[in-house]
Amino acid sequence: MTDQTNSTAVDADATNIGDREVMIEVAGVDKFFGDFQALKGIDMLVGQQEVVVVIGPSGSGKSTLIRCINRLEKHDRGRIVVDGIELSDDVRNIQEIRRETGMVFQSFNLFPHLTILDNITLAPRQVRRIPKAEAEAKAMELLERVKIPDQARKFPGQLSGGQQQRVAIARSLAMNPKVLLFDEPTSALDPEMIKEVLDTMKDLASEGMTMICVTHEMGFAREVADRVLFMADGQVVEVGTPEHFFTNPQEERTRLFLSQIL
Amino acid sequence: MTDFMTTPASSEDFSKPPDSSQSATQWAKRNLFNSPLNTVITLLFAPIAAYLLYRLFRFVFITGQWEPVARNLENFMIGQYPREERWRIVAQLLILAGSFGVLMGAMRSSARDTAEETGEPFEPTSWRTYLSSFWAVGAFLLLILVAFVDTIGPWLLTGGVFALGLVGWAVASRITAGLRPFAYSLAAVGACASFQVLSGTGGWAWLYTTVALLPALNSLVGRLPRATAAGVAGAGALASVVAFGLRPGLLMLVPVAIGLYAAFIAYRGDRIDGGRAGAIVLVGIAVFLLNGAIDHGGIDWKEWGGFHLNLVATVGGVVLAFPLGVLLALGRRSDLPAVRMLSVGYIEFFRGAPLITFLLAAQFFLGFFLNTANPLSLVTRAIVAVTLFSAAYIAEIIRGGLQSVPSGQIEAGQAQGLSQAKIMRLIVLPQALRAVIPAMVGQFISLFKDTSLFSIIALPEFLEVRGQIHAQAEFRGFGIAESLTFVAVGFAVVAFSMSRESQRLEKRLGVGQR
Repeated sequence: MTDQTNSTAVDADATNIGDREVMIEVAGVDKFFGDFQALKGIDMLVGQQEVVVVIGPSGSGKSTLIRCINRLEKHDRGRIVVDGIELSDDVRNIQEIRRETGMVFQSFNLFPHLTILDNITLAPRQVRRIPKAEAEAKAMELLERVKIPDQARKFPGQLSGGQQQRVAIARSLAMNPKVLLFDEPTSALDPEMIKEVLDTMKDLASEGMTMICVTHEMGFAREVADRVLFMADGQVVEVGTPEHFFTNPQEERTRLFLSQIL
Repeated sequence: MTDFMTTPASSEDFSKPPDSSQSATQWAKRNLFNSPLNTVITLLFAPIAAYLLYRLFRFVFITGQWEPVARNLENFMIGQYPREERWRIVAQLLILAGSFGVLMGAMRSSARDTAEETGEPFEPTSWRTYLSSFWAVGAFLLLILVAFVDTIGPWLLTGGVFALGLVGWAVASRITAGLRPFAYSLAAVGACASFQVLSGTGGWAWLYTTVALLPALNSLVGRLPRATAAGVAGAGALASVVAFGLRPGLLMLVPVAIGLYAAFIAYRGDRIDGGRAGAIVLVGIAVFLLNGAIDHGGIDWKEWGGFHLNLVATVGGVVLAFPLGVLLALGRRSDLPAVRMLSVGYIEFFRGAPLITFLLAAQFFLGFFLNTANPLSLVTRAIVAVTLFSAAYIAEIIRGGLQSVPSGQIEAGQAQGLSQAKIMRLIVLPQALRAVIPAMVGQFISLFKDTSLFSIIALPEFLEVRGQIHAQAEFRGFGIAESLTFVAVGFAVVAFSMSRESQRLEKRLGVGQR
């Protein structure tokens, strides 16, 4: 991906997407868990075909942010717009946004009682009403894409962690989403399996998928991200292109975080 | 471990696990005499065990007065069921055996096809597995036949049951995938018809047949163009509507609804899958049971009795209490406060009082709540009582299962845009039910044993028959321990088989889960 953003410096403005069309808008979003404020007035834009990597210490609100985008968590203030649809309390509205966004979880969350094929075809058949044969053909295509077509008839428990996560990616793609949300997709994997998942994600990025990835894989961020966003204490501390962000961070907190993990 | 490492005989093949077979002497050494303390315990308890076994043997084969049991075998089994109508019970057993054989055979052929499709090796369930589940029932039957039966009839019946089961199994296990839904339907129709034969409410047979045949009909129309398929299924629904017009009644709405549902599925271009077909069959059986309660005729439930009554009441109780329990468990987790409170209230109430109170209530005042012009038979009311009682326990078991499904599963469903109802039905419930099979079967066994409490309200079930026998002058105060042993073992062998089958089911469903 070429760098299309205009920002040459690193600052705390996460709404600068250059000349891209807006895919996701997050404006003034607050989120509370009881008295604890997990998100403090987040403003963020994500452009079409953009890859945004979100990093930050644990408890900084990264996961909460992307879970608010598809309403796995309900935000308390502000507005979230995905592909022109504003997230409201209306169930149909929520379902519409969830059909547009795929999500990949840290713990895969495959359905253990269904075969790989059934895992992938469940939502297309039930939500989009696609006939079984068509849905399975599409699922096989996706499994080719994540390079495990031979596992289609197995159960999730029979696959390695890396394979399971690739199935989860295929499953999220089966609904033809416009946006993919990744919630620490490699954190539960053994080291030798991280690469195969990251490679799959890189392929997706190069095919022009809009992605928000919460991850600790700095190599991936450097290589694939259009922008890297650093969060701490529920706020966006610093945003920038990978080269600026990693070579010239402005904030003390960012530098401290990077020095700890690099 | 070290043992294995330090015995490297040059000829040993290290790519295979070490030989773990052992002789009887080795086994005894390892398990009975492996420490001084164990040796003492073994030497102490071996004579005691031997003595107890000797007393048991003496009781069963020498001193036991089995005459009350031997002379009343038929009473024990079917109670006061009219003797001239005995053929109905024979027919029921034969039809059930054939249906069960067809069902098992069709499942086997399905498993074989699945294995072929996936390229995994097909491992058929061996006869040893069935033996390990049903040996107790078989041994009990054989013992009774050998010891107490001097006519040819019961032998022929037992042999016929086995033969029909085997024939059904052999035929059904050879059929192709296209015919399989018909085999399932045939088994379902057989199951319904077997009860039909018993109660003799013959005029209604076509209804259950229609209900049970719907899965087959649907699998057939699934092959037709969409509009035609919807037409065919719609015609089925229309037929049900006409039937409703001819014989109005609330229960007739069930097949109407199922017909419309089948038409809808066909219109969408889908087919009813196994799970839904199973659900429809369950509904069919439930319709039958409810209908049997209202529509009298033939050999009424009132006249059923003996061990047969216990078994029928158990089947009825399980079939009715399970869906009710699922609904209550879901209700308890509902977002609607009214539904939640109703479910909690129901569960706490029915768990709070002993079953006997509900049986007595069923006997004395259940009629007040229902149509008094057409009072329910006592058997029906007893089944209602155990159903309502068991449903509360089943609901709590299922609630535990629902809680064991991690929230990530629900989130994964939500993230893909599945509705709350579909997440529950397709993702959470299947996992929850699988997790609670042992507890659930425990509850079913408990329900089975609780049917012996029917004696409290003077229903002639297994245990009550025994009491009636000893009330006769001929058998008063004689062979009491023997008849009690007979009844206890009768319950125990059936409960044991239920338990073993559930373990097998658990193992089979666990495949690929790990």
